[in-house]
Amino acid sequence: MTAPYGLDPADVAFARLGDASLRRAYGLASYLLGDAIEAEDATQETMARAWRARRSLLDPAALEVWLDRILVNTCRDRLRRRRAIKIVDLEASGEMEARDPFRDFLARDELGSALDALTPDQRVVVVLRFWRDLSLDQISERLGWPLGTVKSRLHHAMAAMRDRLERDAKHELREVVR
Amino acid sequence: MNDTEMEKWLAERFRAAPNPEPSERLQQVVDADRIRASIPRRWAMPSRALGLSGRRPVLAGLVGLAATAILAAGLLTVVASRLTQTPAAPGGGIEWQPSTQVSGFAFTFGPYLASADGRLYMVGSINGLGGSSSTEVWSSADGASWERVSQPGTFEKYGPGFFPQGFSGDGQGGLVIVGGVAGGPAWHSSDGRTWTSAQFETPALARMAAVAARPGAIVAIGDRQVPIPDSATMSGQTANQMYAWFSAEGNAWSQVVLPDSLGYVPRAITAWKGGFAAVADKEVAADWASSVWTSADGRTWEKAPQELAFSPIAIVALGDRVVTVGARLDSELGMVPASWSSTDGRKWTESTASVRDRATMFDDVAVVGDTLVAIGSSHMYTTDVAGGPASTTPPMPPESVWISSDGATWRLLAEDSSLNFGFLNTHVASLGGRVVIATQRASAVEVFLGDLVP
Repeated sequence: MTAPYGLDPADVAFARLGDASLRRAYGLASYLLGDAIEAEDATQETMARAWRARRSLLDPAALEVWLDRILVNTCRDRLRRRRAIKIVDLEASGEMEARDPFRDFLARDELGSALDALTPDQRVVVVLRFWRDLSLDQISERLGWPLGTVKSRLHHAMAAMRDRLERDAKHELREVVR
Repeated sequence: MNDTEMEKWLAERFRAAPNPEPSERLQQVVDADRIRASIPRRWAMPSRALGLSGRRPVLAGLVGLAATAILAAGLLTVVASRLTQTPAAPGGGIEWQPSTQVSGFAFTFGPYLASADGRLYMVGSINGLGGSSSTEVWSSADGASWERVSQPGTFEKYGPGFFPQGFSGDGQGGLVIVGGVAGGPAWHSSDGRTWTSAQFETPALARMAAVAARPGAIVAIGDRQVPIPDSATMSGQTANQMYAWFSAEGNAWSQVVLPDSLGYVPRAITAWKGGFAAVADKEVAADWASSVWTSADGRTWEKAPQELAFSPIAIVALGDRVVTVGARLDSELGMVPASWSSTDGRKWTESTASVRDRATMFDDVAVVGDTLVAIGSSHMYTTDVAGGPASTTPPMPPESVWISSDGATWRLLAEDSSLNFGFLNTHVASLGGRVVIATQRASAVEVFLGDLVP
């Protein structure tokens, strides 16, 4: 890391532990947001928030859970904002855009379609459960949500994804018949 | 698909899906954000200058890179050229021996040095993600040969996560380590081998940042975030509050709030002829500013009326004088080494020191015999940290060592290319009249031994 003068050793250690979490945090943000550029923004925002609040973290062992919670909240805010604003397709309007292989993958894979069927909170639970491989208890701890809420969101998420996959399958079948 | 089949399908799909990889740029902007958040506001960039919001990644990327370059060049005054106006000091200095490497260390915190009973001790901890931690104490009679004296698991027996921040003799031949979290923030030992966790009158839910002692009195300073009194009803409004702890023997401690210390971050403490002197700087300030608190007995504290325009990192006593070292902002050089000294703890006089490179400052100071020895390095570039990737930046310029007989006038010693210090993980101490410097490398602690020569 690059660190300026004025940091004490605890700051340096915090930055080092944060750096070690960067890849994992970015991966989580990518699956939550489905977009590499936005995931970088969210990860940057998360790390900046964590840095500003670093002195409130007394136990370095809790860093991973703490960072996850900040990141998830950051991504949830972005997902909610995204639903509230009109998205303009810049590719269609001819603007130059750097290629995003991860977004391309989600756009053509059934997994991406299934995730798109979810509300922000449902998506958070699904990604933490199946990508991060966390137990429902661990998800509850990370998000500060009651266990019952996590279970309920997962249940509704499964139903929504199942509906989306069945609808996609029927649509695909219609296209083949046509 | 039922729920079970759906879960299996999801697990397989996620397993087969690509693992997104962050760009190098992300690490750069994260570092830049930390820099921006840690330096005085008047040097700072507009808050979103490095952001990459929206869907214009190419343009935004260029803006981000340019801003990073500006940040590096402008804010930290990062200039690779050496200064030429400061010749090496003539005359005596320190004769350095070939350094020794104590292998197997990648301390996250430390190595901190302390002397007790004619031996030198070193403490450090390795703190990993997921709760793993290991704090170790090592000892040496000569500074070259080291043996581990603490038992494995000693500092983790009440839970993982202890991290040392300060280390000192206890004034009676024993040692004290202070830091944070598991098992309480202070540990005491009478022989360096057997350690006990300190007991507190009130729960010490804070980190201890530094400790100093004289016979019959051990004093630590530390801090924690507390709600700001004027905005107690506003959620999340907190500020740093400083505390001092006193112990007569290292096991039982009492706590007091340092007066008028809200918003300060503790940096260092020393025992001194007037009792104890602690120095701290402001958590957020437009300019670097610090204050000193003094106590005759370690229990009752007074804040010095004079504010010191610098950022402190260490404080020591030399004779009747107490000297604190650090750095101050400089319009041309970015940052320069600066020290302040006092004989009464209330009235302070500033001194500066010559430099060879920009962004060079004092990193630590120790009393060796009757001489002050200060070390420093240029903070121009990325520097090595234990366990981190190897640096790809240009080699750092040689380190700087200054000596002083009074804390008022500093002499920059001739350049010695064999010295190579790590960023902030370097400390200097005295052992039997010799200078000892310990610095953390990627997987070893390197120890430099030197002798003062006339």
